[in-house]
Amino acid sequence: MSTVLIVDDHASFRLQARALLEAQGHVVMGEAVDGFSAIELARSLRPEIVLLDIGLPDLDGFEVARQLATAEGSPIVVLTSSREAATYGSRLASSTIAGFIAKEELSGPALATLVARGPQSPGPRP
Amino acid sequence: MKIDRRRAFIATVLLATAASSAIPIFVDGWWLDLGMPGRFALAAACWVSVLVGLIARDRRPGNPIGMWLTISGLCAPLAYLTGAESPLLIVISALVFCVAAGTGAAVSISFPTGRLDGKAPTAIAAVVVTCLVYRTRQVLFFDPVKSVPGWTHPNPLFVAPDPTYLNVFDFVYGVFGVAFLAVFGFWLARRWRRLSGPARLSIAPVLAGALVFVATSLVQVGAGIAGVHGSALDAVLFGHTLSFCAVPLGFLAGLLRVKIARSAIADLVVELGETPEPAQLRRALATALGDPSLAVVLWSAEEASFVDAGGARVTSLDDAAGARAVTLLERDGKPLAAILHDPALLDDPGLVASVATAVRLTVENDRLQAAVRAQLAEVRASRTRIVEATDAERRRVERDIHDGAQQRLVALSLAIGRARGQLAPTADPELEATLAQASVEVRAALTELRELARGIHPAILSEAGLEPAIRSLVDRAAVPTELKAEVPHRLPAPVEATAYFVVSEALANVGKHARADSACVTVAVEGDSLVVEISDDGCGDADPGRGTGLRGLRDRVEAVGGTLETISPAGSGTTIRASLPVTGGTAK
Repeated sequence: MSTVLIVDDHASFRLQARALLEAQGHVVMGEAVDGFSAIELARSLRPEIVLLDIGLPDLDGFEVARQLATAEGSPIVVLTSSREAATYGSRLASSTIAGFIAKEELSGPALATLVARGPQSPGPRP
Repeated sequence: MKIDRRRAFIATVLLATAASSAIPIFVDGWWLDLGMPGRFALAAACWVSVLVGLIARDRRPGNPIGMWLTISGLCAPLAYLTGAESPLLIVISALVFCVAAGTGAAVSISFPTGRLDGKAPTAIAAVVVTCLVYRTRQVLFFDPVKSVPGWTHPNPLFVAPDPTYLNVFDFVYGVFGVAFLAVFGFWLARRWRRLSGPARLSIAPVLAGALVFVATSLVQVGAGIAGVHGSALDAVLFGHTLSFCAVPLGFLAGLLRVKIARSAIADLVVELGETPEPAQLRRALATALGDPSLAVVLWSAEEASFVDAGGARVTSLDDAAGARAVTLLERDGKPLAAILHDPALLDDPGLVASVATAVRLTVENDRLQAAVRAQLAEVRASRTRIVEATDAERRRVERDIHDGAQQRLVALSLAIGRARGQLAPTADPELEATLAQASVEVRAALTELRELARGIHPAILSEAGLEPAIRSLVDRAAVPTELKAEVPHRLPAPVEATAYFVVSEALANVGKHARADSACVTVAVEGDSLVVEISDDGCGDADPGRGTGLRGLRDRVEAVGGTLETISPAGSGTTIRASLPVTGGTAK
């Protein structure tokens, strides 16, 4: 199982996601409420996976993913949102992102599947 | 009452004219017989003078010229009753001759104002005295029985003169008469030459008429000195008598020319179009009036001063005018414009009024148009602001849904998922089924909420851009739809939103009304515009005026300064084409 950093500005999501992932065997190393603290925490905690909300109060998820990718030993980034994947179009096809999971679809196995598939996952439908 | 008196006056004058004009035709009255053509010419001159005089009096009631013309016309036939048998009639005829000559001279000298100032009274007095002397000589020393072939009535007032003195007098007086007429002719010609632009219109024909009269008078006096007789004398007398009509006819021609100039000015305003430039107006007026010095200065409220055509301030109208006259136009007591023009224009108040009306119309029109343009710009700007505010509000509501209810439902969905995971393998299957149902319900709620949020504001538009947003619309369209999109860069948000709504509404219409098998959406940047076109192969006949859909779409498109076309012939499909200006992104 993997170590995870959860990044979202909504406390209710962080709470539920942590409980769900931990119940399904993942180790949640920490939680961040915005982009800058996410980058900071990722550096210090070195999680394997960052579960990253796209709509953050400071930087958006795409920008955070880009910055995380520049660091050495960068984590696998999985973006999440309560909006549909189609909303973001081709931006999800970035090489710095392992995949996208709708928030209500989140589960330990779903996350594990995405991570196993690795980066350059096919983007959302064109 | 006033009208009745006027009618009575005119009727009296006409009766008197009829009587007067009958005299030369029916009464053998003159020692020198005019011959029948000459007699009719005299009757005609009488009528022309009287009628033109009445017209002139009607046009300018305060101007005495009309009265003078009428009087001279009425008197002319009586003045030729020199051959009457009654001594009293002969004397009256001589006096009436002087009146006719005096009023005729007054018309020629004082036209067009009718004012007898300067040397005018002296000149008229000279004419009257000259005529008086001439007629006195005729009355006292002329013996028609001896001089006129076939004449049998003796002159009752005849005094036998010493022929030598009489011949000397006649020679001196003839020379004096020629000189007098020559001076008068010279004066008329000089006055004609000095006429400027607008004055030429009405004054020149009268001066020309007076010159014709002077010329025929010279011929007649010359013929007398030379002793011309027979048919040549008849021709000279006929020509001279006919020339009595010249001044009144000249007056009539002047009136017509002014009338034509006035209607030309009225036409100007129409010809110049909606908003003639002041410079254009100036040129047109100058041409119509024949006054190249004419200038129009407009009042500028901002400058609190008159400004000339070049926009420079005019501090003093009098200095700017120089020798020109100034006609000031006002509206509600405030200055509007000023016309600098040849002072001669003032001789014709009607012409000044026409010019003033033309300028006033133009200036007022210009101001109204400016006011309407400003209002229209304000309305357009406010429409744009309303659309932008509405868009912003929709974005806010969508975000509120996203951050609020949607997050709660997501958390709820995850919690249900957790609860299902926490169930012991031995748990009640019914509980498991209930939780599964709850999970389905909550996901359905999330989906519906997403649809709702997308209807309020498509997040995809701000997140992914116009092309993916339109692609998502095309993917959900009711009929198979082809998309040809080429949008190389992001465009101003109001333009993207408008384009999106055009496609969204048009595709919805295709699904609802068109009975189409397929549709095509084209999005491309052409020059400075984003062009969006949605066409289908349905039944056509869409009416942009009916229903709120297309109307609302047009309002939105126009709010960003764009245009919307609907081409929808019955039976041949519908094409909706929106062209949205990209530069600036907001309405003009």
